[in-house]
Amino acid sequence: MNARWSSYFVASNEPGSPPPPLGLRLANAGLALLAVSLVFCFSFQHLAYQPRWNAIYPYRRLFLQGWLTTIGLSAAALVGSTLAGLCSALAQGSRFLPLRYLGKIYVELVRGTPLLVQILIGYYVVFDAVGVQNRYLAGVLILSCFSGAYISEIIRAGIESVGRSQWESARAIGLTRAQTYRYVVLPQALRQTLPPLAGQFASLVKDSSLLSVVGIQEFTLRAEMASARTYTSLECYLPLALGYLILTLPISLWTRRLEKRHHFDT
Amino acid sequence: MILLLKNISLPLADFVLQVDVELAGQVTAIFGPSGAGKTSLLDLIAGLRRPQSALIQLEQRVLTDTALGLALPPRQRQIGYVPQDLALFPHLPVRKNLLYGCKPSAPRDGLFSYEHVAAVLEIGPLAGRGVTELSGGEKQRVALARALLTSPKLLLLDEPLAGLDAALKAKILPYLARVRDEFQVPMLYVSHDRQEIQALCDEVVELERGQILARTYEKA
Repeated sequence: MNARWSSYFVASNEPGSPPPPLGLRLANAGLALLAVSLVFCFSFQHLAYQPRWNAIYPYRRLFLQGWLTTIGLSAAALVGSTLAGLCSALAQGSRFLPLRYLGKIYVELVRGTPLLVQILIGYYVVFDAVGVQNRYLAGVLILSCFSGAYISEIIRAGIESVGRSQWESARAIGLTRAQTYRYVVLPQALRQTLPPLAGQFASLVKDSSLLSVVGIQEFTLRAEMASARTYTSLECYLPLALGYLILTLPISLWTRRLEKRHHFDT
Repeated sequence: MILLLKNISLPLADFVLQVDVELAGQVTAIFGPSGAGKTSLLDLIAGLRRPQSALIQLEQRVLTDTALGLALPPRQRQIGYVPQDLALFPHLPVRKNLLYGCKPSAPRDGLFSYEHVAAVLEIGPLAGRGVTELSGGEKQRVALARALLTSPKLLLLDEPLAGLDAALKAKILPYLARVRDEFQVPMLYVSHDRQEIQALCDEVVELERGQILARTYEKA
């Protein structure tokens, strides 16, 4: 490739180098998108299936309600799982040994078993026994518990990345343990954890689809209902995929912005 | 200053730090090769490490007494510590780095007020900048100011000039002398550079493999 051509497609990848001009970015992103769409166009061309979009159009409210339910569930579980993860990460760093092992067992148990099994056991056994009747509340708690274990490990890695001397100097200038966490360790850990945290939150949104197995009428279950009533398939699943993408895309864009704001050289 | 370090014992990787000394100098140097146990001794005094046995007393105030099972937490010791790597908080601007060390109860216009410390160390113009943008010498001054803002009764400096080139050392030394004269805080000054010690210290304790080899007094 000669120099003139490469200037349209090549940019520096060294850390700290300025981003390429907007036009160049848009053009190249469009090119990549075109390549992806070609794959899908090719695949769908080979499909002997006539989509009947007008069959599912009357069910648009059903989709919208499900989508909103998914947003609600995910938002609540996002808060819940962050709290669970933070508590578990702090517990694992605790001087009190029972608490430390409780944190470790929680993480291993949850990460080592499938979410589907956790939902079934959690809903039909645990929450049934303690008398939680509201399936939405149960769903949020199960999802928080599941995602919290992953977030716990992300936060723990972030905390461990903050050097020992930061702890010591914070304590030497008179901060208590709690203040050291609040003002010195967690803000620095946060920067390390933002990218994996965003990935986890995006997963959380998608994982909420599994709650459909216990009859929580979220996005996936509503789409399946529409599909069953109209004998359609792709017409329901394509909007479903799009709906989840609309939720997860802003999360990763937002994280990139946060990453920039919290950036500092070490 | 009367700093009593009695019956101190702390097992380190391949020797035991054993110190028994009473220090009375204004600026006492702890001199010795790398790995002699100098930083560990400072950590003990600051309360960041637990000794096997020790009685540490600063001006009649007991900081650590293993015989009684007593160890004040670092924040109650009134000791300012500038660790070797400075450990400034990289996510905060200079001003916030400094103010975390400032006790809310501290008098606003006293010797250790923000304004006074900033003036002595010429920090004013740096206040709004990020810590990572500072030069080596500026970082050193900020770390020194952060320790001073805790209104310490004793200042621990761990090789404050190590890693700086000769020109920069010559620039920082007057600040250290200024701190010594202006605030009258006794200092323990860890170093392995004779010249620095001669310029600043009135008492030298030589440490090697955890033992005190010699104790000398510098002529001012």
